[in-house]
Amino acid sequence: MEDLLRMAIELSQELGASYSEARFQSDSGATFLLKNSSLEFIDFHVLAGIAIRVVVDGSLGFSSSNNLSRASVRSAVESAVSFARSTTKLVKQPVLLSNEEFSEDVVEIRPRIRFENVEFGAAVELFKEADSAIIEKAGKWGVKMASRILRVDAGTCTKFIVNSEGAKVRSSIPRTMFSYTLIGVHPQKGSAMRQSALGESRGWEAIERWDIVALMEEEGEAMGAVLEKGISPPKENLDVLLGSEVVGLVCHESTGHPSEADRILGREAAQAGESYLSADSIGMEIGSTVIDVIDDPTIPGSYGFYIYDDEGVKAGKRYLIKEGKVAGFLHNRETAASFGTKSNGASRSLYYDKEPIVRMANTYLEAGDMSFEELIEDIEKGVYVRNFTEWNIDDRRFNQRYTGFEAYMIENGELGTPVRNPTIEMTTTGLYRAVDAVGKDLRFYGATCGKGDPMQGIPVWTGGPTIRLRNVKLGGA
Amino acid sequence: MGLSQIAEIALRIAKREGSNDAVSIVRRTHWRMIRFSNNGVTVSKNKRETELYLYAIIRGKKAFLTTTDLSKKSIEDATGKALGAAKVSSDRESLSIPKGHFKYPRKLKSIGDAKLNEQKLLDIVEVAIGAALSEGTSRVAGTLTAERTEKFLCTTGGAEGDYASTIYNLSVRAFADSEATGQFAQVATSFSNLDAEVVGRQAGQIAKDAKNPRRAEPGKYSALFGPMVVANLVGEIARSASGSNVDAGLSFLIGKLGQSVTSCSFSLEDNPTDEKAAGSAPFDDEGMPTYRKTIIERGILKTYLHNSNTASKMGTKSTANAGLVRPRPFNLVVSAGDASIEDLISMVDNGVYVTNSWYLRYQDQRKGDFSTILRDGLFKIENGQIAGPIKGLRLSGNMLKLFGDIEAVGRERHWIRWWEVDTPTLTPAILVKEANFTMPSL
Repeated sequence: MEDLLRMAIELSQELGASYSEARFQSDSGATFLLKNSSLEFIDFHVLAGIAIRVVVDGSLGFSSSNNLSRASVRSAVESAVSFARSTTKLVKQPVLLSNEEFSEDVVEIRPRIRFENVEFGAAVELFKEADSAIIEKAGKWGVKMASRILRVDAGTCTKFIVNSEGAKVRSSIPRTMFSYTLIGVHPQKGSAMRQSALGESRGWEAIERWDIVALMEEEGEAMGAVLEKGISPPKENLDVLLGSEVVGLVCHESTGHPSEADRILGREAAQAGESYLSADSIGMEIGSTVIDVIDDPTIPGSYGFYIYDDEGVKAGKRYLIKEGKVAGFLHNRETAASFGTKSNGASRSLYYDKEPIVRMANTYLEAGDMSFEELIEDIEKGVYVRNFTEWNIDDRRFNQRYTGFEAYMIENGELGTPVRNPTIEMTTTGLYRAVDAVGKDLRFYGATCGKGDPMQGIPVWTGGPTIRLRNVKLGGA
Repeated sequence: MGLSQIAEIALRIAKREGSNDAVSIVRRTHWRMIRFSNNGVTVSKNKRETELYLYAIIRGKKAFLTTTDLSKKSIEDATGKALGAAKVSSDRESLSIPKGHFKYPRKLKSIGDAKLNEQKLLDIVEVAIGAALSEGTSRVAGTLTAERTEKFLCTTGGAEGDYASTIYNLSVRAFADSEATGQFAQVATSFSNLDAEVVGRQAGQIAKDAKNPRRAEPGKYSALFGPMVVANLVGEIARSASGSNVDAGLSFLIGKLGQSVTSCSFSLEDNPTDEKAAGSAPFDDEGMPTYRKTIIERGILKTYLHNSNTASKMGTKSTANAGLVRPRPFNLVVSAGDASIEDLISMVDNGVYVTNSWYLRYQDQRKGDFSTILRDGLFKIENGQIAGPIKGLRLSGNMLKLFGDIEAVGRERHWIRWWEVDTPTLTPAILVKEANFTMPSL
């Protein structure tokens, strides 16, 4: 394979590219989906091919093919160079890349149980047990589970990246995600929906670690309680505790995305949008001093794990918000050059046929030191929103909404009656500035982050501890 | 190897592994994209790919395989794994694929331009950027995609066919300033039907008119939704009409066949047989010949979209909407009304004109409770006239109520497809008598 990649680099340089990058990528894996107690399907996939990226006279070109013959790779290189060259006349800002140190390295994470070796019969039975657990727990509240979709996506991503500046990185990373969609129906009180996911860069052993039967028991119990006993959220201003699942999503949507330097520069303007931040926003206060938001691809076992990005740049932990102020952006080499800085290794692509662009990895709010009991003890009246069911945010990442699924009233420091559909509809600064305390219960959730054109849904973690917001209004303006 | 050879090898392997009901599809794609922002090209992309899809039923279970590794050994290994995994499940369903040597219409054998011309792609981008800027905007971004796909299908049921189709998709977003934006898109099968000037001007005009927006007030208003918004919302109707979603309990159209689900001024069809439409195809992914069908006729839900499996579960016939995994539409077509956009605006005393939306998420997919962010030009309508741009609103409502409240339908239709709209959709603007708009508290 190295010969083929080298050939692509050399040919593109001969054809006039000032920068060349070649990547072989293979994603192989399986999806299985249990729909209302029955195995709906098993889907295996092998997506493998080569990608070439070049800069020609300041114009960026990308080409891919799943045909790994030398003739086909040669043709892909020629297409990348010629298409880039012909678009030069429409390039307004010639592409420059930051100077980086490159090295040769191998990153290999070995799964304990490869998806190919899974005992699928036993796996299906395990998921049926989890499915029964939801039905039983919700049923005790008189709630019928009208829809239960339990899904596993497991596989391995193998990459081999070389470029014309000395990078040579091989990696092999397994990933497993468990996601679910549940709809419960109460005969008098209507229906409710819940969706969530867990993910790790591990093999099938992750499924064993997660104890999905216990997790589904918890979800079934929550579904029952919310539908049977849930009351409307109070209308007056009050204190709110946001659980780690909500906090993780908030950090991803309203810190991670607006910190992507390509959005700030306008490169994603037509689809995913831009950012409320600008190039000179470093140091800008957007939240209270207890807010520290980090993106770190290098957390072992994390769903968004990697060590080298798809430009061959070594990644590390990066602060996006520090003590409530904007501390940094996510960069690839192109955005780093525009900002006069170095890449921090945020360039990722989903499959071999996708262009690497600026992405998050594992975005989370740094843990504080307060226990849940300490966070809740002085709240006279409030709402604890443990997790969510619906969310969205505007394309500048400032106007956001999260509708809680499992939520409870807080009265005199104690959790009380379940609350149905409390909605946090706030601006980014409004939300972060209302936070006065951060818990120590940091947890992570698996997610698929969407961006790019064509759309690239990449694996990430979202995470955080429970946080406390003072004197906010639920339900928007 | 040719497409048919690869497909036939896969089918033989599936049979050998014990499946008597299998579909093998091979798709060869030549795809090109130009992305632009800040008035210039940011990247050009090119892809050549041949991909095999295999759907096989074994012991009453479905196994799928998608692979770009087309060596015989790889196909053998992967098929063996997929079928081996599927057959372990203890519960079995009564599944099969359609049987028959179907005939497909010749007019759908080759849809659209036969070749993609690189220079013409550049010309389109240049025209689109220029047109948006000529409206007085300062920045333009967007995407132009051109894709030619050849597809071959064969099944154990005796179906065999092939066709080729081309899709051009242009999406343009113009900026008059960071908060004044406009977006428009178009999808076509040939260069001659793609009007970059119109797309660019439309995006530019919306952006220019959106300058200096006022903060809106949340509340219930009449709402005029432009074609970009309607295409997004209509996609949700089609998703809920998919037999797979109905079967899974994830649809707000469950139990509503033959009932009124929208206002009687709304009709929707799926038309895979229009050779000028970008999503057309002579057969679905089970080899069934496609046909034009009404999903909603003057408010009444006439059919769900079925493959043979969902149809069998619901005691009906396939509507020839099989996708690789679940039923899906080919081209969604909203019937035109008789009102011009000016007529629609003149009908509103106190309302909002929404030109685009994105990020639609459900609070409850079975009920249809959702919210979506309004983006790009958003305008207040007062006393039958546009009263100026506003900002910051979110549409928070229920699909059935929203479509039930349609008051009037526009007559000018546009073919829309972009980031938020997968299925090519021909739609006009619609006027809804009352929609709920919310906004942040802080």
